[in-house]
Order: sequence, then structure tokens, then C-alpha cells
Amino acid sequence: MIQFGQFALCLAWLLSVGVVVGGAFVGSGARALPSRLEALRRGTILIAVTLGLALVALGYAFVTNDYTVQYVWQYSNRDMPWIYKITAIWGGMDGSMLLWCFLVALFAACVALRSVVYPRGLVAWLFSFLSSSTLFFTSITLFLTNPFRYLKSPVAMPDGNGLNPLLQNEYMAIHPPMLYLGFTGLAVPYAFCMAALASGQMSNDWIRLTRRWTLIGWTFLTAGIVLGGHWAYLELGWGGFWAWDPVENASFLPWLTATAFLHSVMVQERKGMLKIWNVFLVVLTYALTVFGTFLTRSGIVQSVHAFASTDIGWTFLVYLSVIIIGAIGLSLYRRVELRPERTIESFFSREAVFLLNNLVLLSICFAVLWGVMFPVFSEAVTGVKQTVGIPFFNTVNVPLFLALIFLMGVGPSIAWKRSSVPQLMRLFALPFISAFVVAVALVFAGIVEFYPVLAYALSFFGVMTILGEVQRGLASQRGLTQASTWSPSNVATLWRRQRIKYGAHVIHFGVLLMTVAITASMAHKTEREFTLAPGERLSVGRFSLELNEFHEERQANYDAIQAHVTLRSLTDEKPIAVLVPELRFYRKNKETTTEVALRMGQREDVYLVLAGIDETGTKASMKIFINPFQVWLWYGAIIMVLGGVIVAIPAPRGARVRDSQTTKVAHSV
Amino acid sequence: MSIGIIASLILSLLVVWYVLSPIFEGGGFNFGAAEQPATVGPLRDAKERALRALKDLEMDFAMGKISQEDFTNSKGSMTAEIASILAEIKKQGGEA
Repeated sequence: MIQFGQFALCLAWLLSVGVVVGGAFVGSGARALPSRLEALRRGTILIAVTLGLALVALGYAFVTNDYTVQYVWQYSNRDMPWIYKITAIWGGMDGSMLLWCFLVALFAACVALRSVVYPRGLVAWLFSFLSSSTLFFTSITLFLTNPFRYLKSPVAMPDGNGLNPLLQNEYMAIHPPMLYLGFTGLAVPYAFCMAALASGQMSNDWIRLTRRWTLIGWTFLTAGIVLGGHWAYLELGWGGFWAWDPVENASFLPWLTATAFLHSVMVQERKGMLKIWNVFLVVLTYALTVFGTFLTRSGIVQSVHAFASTDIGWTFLVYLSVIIIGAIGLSLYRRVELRPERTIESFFSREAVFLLNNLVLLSICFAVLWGVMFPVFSEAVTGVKQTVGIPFFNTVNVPLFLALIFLMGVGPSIAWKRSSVPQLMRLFALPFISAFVVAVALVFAGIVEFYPVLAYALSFFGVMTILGEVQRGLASQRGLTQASTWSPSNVATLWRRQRIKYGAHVIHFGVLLMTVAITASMAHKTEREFTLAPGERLSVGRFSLELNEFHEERQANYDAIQAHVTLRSLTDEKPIAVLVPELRFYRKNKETTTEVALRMGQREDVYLVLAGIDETGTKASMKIFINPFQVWLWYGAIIMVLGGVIVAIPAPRGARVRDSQTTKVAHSV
Repeated sequence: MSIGIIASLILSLLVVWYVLSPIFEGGGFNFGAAEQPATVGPLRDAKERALRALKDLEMDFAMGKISQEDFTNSKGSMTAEIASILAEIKKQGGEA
């Protein structure tokens, strides 16, 4: 099976070379023959099939404990549950690269399946650029990080090393694949953009097609980032979900630029503006996904997520250079076609707000990138590695995020082209006054810190603008439906007619909910360290904790100390839950991990960590975090992802027909 | 010969046949919409954009985001723009 996996990988590499070269050859010819395009299309699909087979072969080696394979020996052992044997496929560098290859190829295959309806002049180059991405990652996998290498050992190994205990978690099954789906999905817009530049098919087609693929990648990336945050929250035991860790940041950077693109693309679609800017954003987004991979795999930054330091970093830098130089060269070559067709007429217009939103998103991106790279730069210049921590990122980014929240409220409500001041006052008076009232109420309630008050008020402003948009949308079509404004039929009709627009509002609502939750959990968090003997009690916030007992446990692959703590309400002394935090010692890996005891609530999370047992062996040291509204962060994220799905799914065929009929009617104008 | 090698050989034969068969078969494959004269492409984009802008304008007006005066002025200029684009597309031999 290993031989077969190795062969399938080689075949995928050969196919990638064929499609890259063939696509460029067919694309640069005078006329792309359909038979040649079909051959390229089939080649693109087969790359995914062969890489899928390679992945299955590796999975089979894990499940059957084939320790003749170095990678299997390194990342699994017989005691591991079967689910972790599967997730161990991407537990190390080699297998994660193979998964990456497969997912890039899978997206390329999905594009190939849809490609028969794409403009003919574009598709040959599209296959070429899609497969160039696959070729790069497959080359690394095949030649530098091959997971099918045999273990160099004179004797057969009876057992493997086992997976890092931190990775023996159910989130390992979903977080990395989801994140990789996001990263690899963003290779599709890059390929469309480069294909448009190379072929000269600079019409709106590539923009229209790219938007949906970007949304798909963006939605996966959003889900991947949030799942990572949730995993960190549950597993790392520091009470937070986002530490501005370099590898977390690496996933956040392309998310920011992709978000910027999803807004600016609307301006290009409608106004023929920001063409070069959109090319820049698409290329930057893809370059940042490659850069993120470089950060994780080069060992230049310290992170809990980073793979061991390796010598493949230079390949990513070379590829990054090729991406950037290629994009600059093609953009210069097509500079005439990339000229804007008109300019922004008024500062009070949606296009102007979207441009501002882009600048803020790019500012955040730059600030985060600077924070990530500062230790590297400081070491290069001064010889001493100086790190920047959470305070730097919060100080720089909080005001920028709040500006973004404000623009998020304004952007969708303001008219395209131009708005007059009286109209703006009419649109925003109620949201603004309500937000002001909320701010005053919060101050009277004792919340006097500037940023939290501003964050809550702006979030409320955003929610009010969304409600205003829904109200105006419903009112505007009463003539069509003959129903009352908030009647279900009117709401359903609005949803059907304006699904994408209101899907975007769903995403925005999710962001606002997350903003409130993040603000609350950052600004009003309670954190306390304490030591208790069995039978002793402690009061924290509106709770009391009583340590019942602690004891040792022995499991298949680890030893554990468990504490049993009763959580009670201070008001009525009724037990709410028994919390069981754990300290685990993985025998094989000789590593200690904490297992947090968490009681999630709508009002707050109670998060208890067992730090250890004191020297006398009679008392348990623990740390408690009370995180207000934390759960709403996850609800907000779910709503965001749901909104992404709503916007990304294609309109039903009937709706598209109706749309084309609308266009015909417009012709009669 | 091991099963792995036999499976690899079968896979490679299938791949070669599947990828190259369209080239030997020649026709019968369809890609993309019917091609129009090269000059029509930008005009078609301009038409789509103008129609979109008109739709947005009507939507913004219906939702009370722009005044009656702005709506009337903008609609007049947009309608004229669409008419001239359609006329130009017809002149270039494209499908309006």
C-alpha cells in the first residue's frame, strides 16, 4: 500500500507538471481547442483523485500500525484510539503537506468540474495556474517531506512514538482540515486572477466567478480560525482563545485581505473601479497563505502550533517571490485594461465606505504582520530577538477594529454613488441615538472604561443599522407582495429576492455578537489563583467552589490527577455542577498537559484549571477564570459561518431565470 | 510483482487513457459561451455594470436612501448610458 501511495503521489506530480505546461501552451495559442481543454480538465480532476489515493494509502498505514514507515512510527502508537490514528495523518509536517496538496487539488478539481461554462479563453490558463499551486506543494511533499519514506532501522519497530498529547483531541479531526480548506480555497481566486491577466480576458467574468470561490475559502477559513480559538480555549488552559500567537496570526492575515477583497470586488463589479487594487488583494491573500505555511514550517517563529524547525523554508520564499514577481509583471503588462473606468463621486457613498473599510482591514493586516515579523527583524538588526506580546496587538488593533465595526454599520446602509446629508441623517439618526443611549446607560451602570463602552455602543449601532435595513427592505416591497411589512410572506419574499444582501447582514450580525462577547470577556474577566484542601471553600464572583477530593487515575496512554470541585451559586448555595479539572502525564511522550474543567453558561463561563498538588500532597493548586458572555463568541462565529454559506450557495435555477428576465426588462429601458 | 506495483500500473494506464482520449477523439466537447467579436467584451461589461447600477439606484430609492431629485437625475443619465451602450454593441456586431 505504501508503494502504491508513493506511486500515486508521483503520478499526481507528473499530472501537475503536464497541466501547468499544457495549460500555458494551450492558453498562449491562438485558439483553445475544446478537446485540448477537456484533456486539461480531466488532468486537473485526476490530480485530486491520485492525491486522494495517496492520502488513503497513508491513512491505511496508520490504521494498520505499519511502523516500517517513518512518519507512521513518528506520529502514532498502538495505544492511540483509531480516530487519533486518522488525525495523525496531518499531525506532522509530512502528512499535513500531503493533506494540503490534496485539498488544493480538490478545489482545482471542483473548479474543473464547473469549468465547461466558464469563458473559453480563460480556462486553459485557469487550469495551469490552479495546478501550479498543486505542483508547488506536491513537489515539496514528494522531494522534501515525503510521508512514504521507510524507517531506517535494522530491526522492526514494535510500536511508534505517538502523537503529541496536545494534538490528541477531537478538534484535531476538524480544525486543521477546516483551516487548510480555507487556505487552499483561496488559491482559486488567485488562479482566476492570474488566468485573467495572462489570457487578457479582463472582463467582469473573472471577478464574478472569483467572488463565490473567495467566499467559499473565506467561510472555511473563518470556521477554521474559530475552531482553533475554541480548541485553544479548551486545551491550553490559560483562559483565553486568542493569544496573537504567530501561527494564529498567520491564519488571520489572509482572512483580513480576503475580507477586504469581498468588499472591494463589489465596487469593481458595479463601477469598474479598484481593478488593480483587487488584483493586489487577491495576490496578497494567496501570498499570505503561502507565507503562513512558511511561518509554520520554517521554524523562524516560536509558537505552540509551529512544526519542528526544518530546512524547507527557502522553497516557500522562492515560491513567494515567483508569485509576487509574476503578478507584478502581468499587472504591468495589462496596465491599460486595469485602469479604472470612473472615480468615486462622493465621500458619502457606499464605494467610498468600502474603500475605507479596505484601508482599515489592510492597516490591521500590516500591524499584525509587523508584530509577527518584529522578532525576526529585531534579531537580524540587533542580534537580539525582541518579541511583541498581546498588549502590542491589542493597543494597535482595538481602535482599528472599532473603526471597522463603525464602517460595517454605515457601509450597507448608505447608497451607491452619492448620498445627501439630510438622507444620511434620516438613515443614521435612530442607530446613532440608540448607541449613544446605550453608552450613557453603561456609564451609569459602572462601566466607565473608554474602549468597552465604545465597543458596546458601536455594536448596538451596527445591530440597529441592520434592523433598519431589514425594515426598509420589507417596506419597499410591500407593493409587490400586498402583505404587511413584517408578515412571514413579506419576509420570505425579501429573503428570496435579496438573499446575498441579507446573508451579508447575517455575517455582520455574527461579527457584532462576537465583538460584544470579546469585549465582555476581555474587559470584565475575573482571574484568580488559589489552593484548597479537600472540604475547603472559596468564593469567586457569584459562585463558591468546594474541593471535594483529588485522586490519581491511570489510563491507556497517560496517568492523570483529577480534582473534583463542586460549583455552587452564592445566593442559594445550590450545587450547579461538579467540575473535574485534570493534569495528565503522557507516559510515552513524557509530556504533561492540563485538561480544563469548563461550565459554559449564557451569562458566563466558569473555567477551572488544576495547576498541581502542593509538596505536602494535601492541597490542590488551581486557577479559575470567570469569562462573561464567552459563549456568545462561539454563537457569533456560527452565525458568521452560516451567513457565509448563505451567501456562497448559488441561487436556485428558477431565481436565475427570473433574474435574467429582469435584465431583459431593463433592456427595454 | 506485489499488489502495490500491479495497482500502480493499472492506475497509470487508466490515467493516461482518461486524460489523452479527448485529444484522439477530437470533437464533441463544449467549453464556454459563444464567442463574440473582441470589441464587444468591454461593452458587454459596461452594459452589465450600467444595468446593475440602475437596479441598485432603484433599490436605494425604494429604501429611502436617496432623494427624489437625485433619483430622477441619476436615472435619466443611466438610461441614456445604457441606450448608447446597447446601440454600440449592435453596431459592433454583438448581441445586445
